[in-house]
Amino acid sequence: MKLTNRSLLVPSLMLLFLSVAVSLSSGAVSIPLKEIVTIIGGGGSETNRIILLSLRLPRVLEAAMVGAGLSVVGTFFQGLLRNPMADPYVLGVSSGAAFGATIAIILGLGVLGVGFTAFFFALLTISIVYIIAKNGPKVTMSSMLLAGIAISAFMYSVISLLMLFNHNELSRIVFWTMGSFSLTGWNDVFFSAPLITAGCLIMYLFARDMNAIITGDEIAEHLGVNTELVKRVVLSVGSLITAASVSIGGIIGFVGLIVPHIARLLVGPDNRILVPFSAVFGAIFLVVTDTLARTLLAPAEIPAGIITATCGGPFFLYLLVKTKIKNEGM
Amino acid sequence: MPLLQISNLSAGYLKKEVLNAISIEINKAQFTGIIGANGCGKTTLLKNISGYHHPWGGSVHISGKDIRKMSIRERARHIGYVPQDIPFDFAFKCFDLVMMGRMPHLGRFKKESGADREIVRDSMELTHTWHLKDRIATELSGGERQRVYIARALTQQPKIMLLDEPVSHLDIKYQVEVLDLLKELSSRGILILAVLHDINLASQFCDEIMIMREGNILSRGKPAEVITPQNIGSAFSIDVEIFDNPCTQTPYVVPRKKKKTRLKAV
Amino acid sequence: MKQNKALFFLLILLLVLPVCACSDHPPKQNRESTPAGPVVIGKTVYPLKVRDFMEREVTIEKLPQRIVSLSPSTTETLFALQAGSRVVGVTNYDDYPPEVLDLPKVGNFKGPNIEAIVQQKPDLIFASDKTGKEQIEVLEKAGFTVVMLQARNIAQTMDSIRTIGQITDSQEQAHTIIQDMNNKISDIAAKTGSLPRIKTYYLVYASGNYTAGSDTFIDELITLSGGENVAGDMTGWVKFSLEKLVEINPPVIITSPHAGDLKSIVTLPGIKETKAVKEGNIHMISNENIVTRSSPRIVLGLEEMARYLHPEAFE
Repeated sequence: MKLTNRSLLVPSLMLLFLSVAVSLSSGAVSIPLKEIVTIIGGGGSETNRIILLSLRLPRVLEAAMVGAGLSVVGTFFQGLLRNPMADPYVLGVSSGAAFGATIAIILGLGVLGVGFTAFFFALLTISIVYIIAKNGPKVTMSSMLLAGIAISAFMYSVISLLMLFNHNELSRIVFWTMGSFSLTGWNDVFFSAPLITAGCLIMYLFARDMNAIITGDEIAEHLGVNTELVKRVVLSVGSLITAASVSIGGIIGFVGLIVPHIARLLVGPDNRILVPFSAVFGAIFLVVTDTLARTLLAPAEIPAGIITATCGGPFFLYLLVKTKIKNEGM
Repeated sequence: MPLLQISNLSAGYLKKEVLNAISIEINKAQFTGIIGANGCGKTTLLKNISGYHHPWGGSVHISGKDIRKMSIRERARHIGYVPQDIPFDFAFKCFDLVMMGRMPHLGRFKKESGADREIVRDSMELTHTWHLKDRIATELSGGERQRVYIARALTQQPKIMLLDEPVSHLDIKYQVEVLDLLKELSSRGILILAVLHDINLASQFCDEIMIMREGNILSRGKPAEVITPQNIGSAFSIDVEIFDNPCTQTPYVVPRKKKKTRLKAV
Repeated sequence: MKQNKALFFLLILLLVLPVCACSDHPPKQNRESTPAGPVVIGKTVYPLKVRDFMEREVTIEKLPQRIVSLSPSTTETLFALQAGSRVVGVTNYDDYPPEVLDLPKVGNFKGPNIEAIVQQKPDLIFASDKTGKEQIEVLEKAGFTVVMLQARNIAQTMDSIRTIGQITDSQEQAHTIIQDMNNKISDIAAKTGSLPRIKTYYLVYASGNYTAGSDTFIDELITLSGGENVAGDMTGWVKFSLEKLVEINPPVIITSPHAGDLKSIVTLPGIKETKAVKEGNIHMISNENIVTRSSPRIVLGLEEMARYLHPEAFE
């Protein structure tokens, strides 16, 4: 099995490199690869320089990072909740971010302010969920899940209420939630890069512990795993990565759900191998999504969240068919 | 120095006391079965011995060391725990599952070595599961999976192995297989403490039996000494006849037929 | 699942888009710039038969005394025609003239509140395309007279003004207003007609970079004020590529308070690289409603835009 995994690594990285290259040269304005090289070297036309270096490069980098981050968090949350249908938003982080963005948009805080407020409320929400779900020194994932669902529902109802009384901002709020990287600049990259990369690396340290936790909380503890510590780290770091991703790109769904699944199908459930592959596949997925968002209806753009949502439907159908076949075969 | 020493162990959930100042000493490796009615505290006792739960009072020592003074990993090097079968939806191979038992010895950063792989192989061969090493754990039968779990506990190289109703849901063939295995492991120097549901199976396979009742050890000793109509009646609220198992000469419990009681007119 | 929330918001969006008066599709039929009924400026004779924008013939029995307006532009027109005292119900979106804010509210972004409308006992309801066909049907089944007006350009706006003037027996005022509007438009055309067309980008929303394509008032105003809409070959409300914007590099950008704070807009990636921002030619219309509503104030929006595009013509 190890041989197969290693043999997949190089092609995967090459695919990532390829998709980034294609993404950098595609868009409303087509910049051939040769010119990209020239621009990086210091030349190229002024317009294309601006487009590539100020607009496209940060955007593609951000898409790759958010794709990787959400996929890694999705992988860990699926393990933590012992449920392959979990995703990074299942514990309420996204509802908090949406709530923060709504308030910021209503208050007219500008694009930067919206991002920070979304980030702040995302973290606040997961903290509230954790406090509610805690039972003495331990917290069970099922209570986290219930608390997350309850708080999310509450948050979204408040958002609806706010939209009702602030109809002028309504469409702006809706567009924010749809998720897109169209306004990503270098500031966003500098803010999120350390958070997401450091976060993913920290979480990866607990990959083997997570394997044990998947087979049972009690079992993991009896195997010497400090389950409460692992849970706390995975939840807090995972929420930070998700909050950073959502505050910049909006709520881009399905990445954190689909990518770990596909990765698991290819390389198995051992998190030590699964997590890096999830990261690479997630980066590819979101880079391709962003490329499509920019090119399908150029010069108009489609929010990235809509494209990922379009993938979600067929994916679930595929899962359903797969399960039916499995059940009928038994 | 006793292998396992439990002193005045009291424990419970919220305000309810479940274990009532239990003291047990076991000096050598053997196969001990714990039986009792549901709710008498068997599982709680097991979880307090393993260190998973914190007792309200009293202590647990393994070869003289207080388990509360050990780190989680150190405890896992002394005690192996095999719980009831919990389903999970991830396609781990049996080999990988059993290898998890080496985690207490590896820490977070060490990779598995050839020596670890040898230990896994030994454990799996001992439990007759080596031929399942590449199979997906969730696709095995209950009995096979139970033996894989035991193999995993074995790779922890523990002094004590705790099992919570390891055979309750298995076919009789696998029940016998697993209990045979546990008996053999005890003869290899591991203290086996198993909560068992079936009094007769416990009687047949265990070196020693502890009968629990309402948070106390009602009686403790060899099966022949301990399995009496009085003890069984007191612990399980049932009238029984004790026979001699013709194959093993151990006590065999048979419930007495109830006398028909007339319904009184109210 | 949270993904369902995205679809839920998408549905809300589909309800809301029309309310912001930016249309997605071209009108099914091009309404002619001829008024319904005889071109006589005088007193209205009741019962009056009018043709509304749904091509239905509606009979107005007598002079309406209790009017409910489900469209902010119609409300503005009613008050401009001196018929404001007869308006008894408006929507949450109505805000001009200021006295409208005190009127009872009978509709929000979800649509008309039938019960609240009934409470006001109107004898005429003005609806728009945002009201919804089913809601109009329900209102008519309840016995109300509903006239649906919808204007996507200035010609249709004048049409609506004329029709409203007829219905409320204020045809003289309507005629005056339309004449004023036409005068203003020709005045601006005279001032800017011979000047070179200025490539203009209109920023509707900063986050997501939304602009107005053809078949919107904004597009028409840009053209009438001597400009060329960067997004002119796309229809309706468009999420525009920042890269394309940088490539086109417009010399002028117009936006409104609706898009945010000018100070933060000029720092946005892509936008800050344009000639418009670099040379300080990014301007804010005082109020987005004067460039999106089909009311007499549309010419105010036209004038503001013309002054920004061709300041030299207004010295």
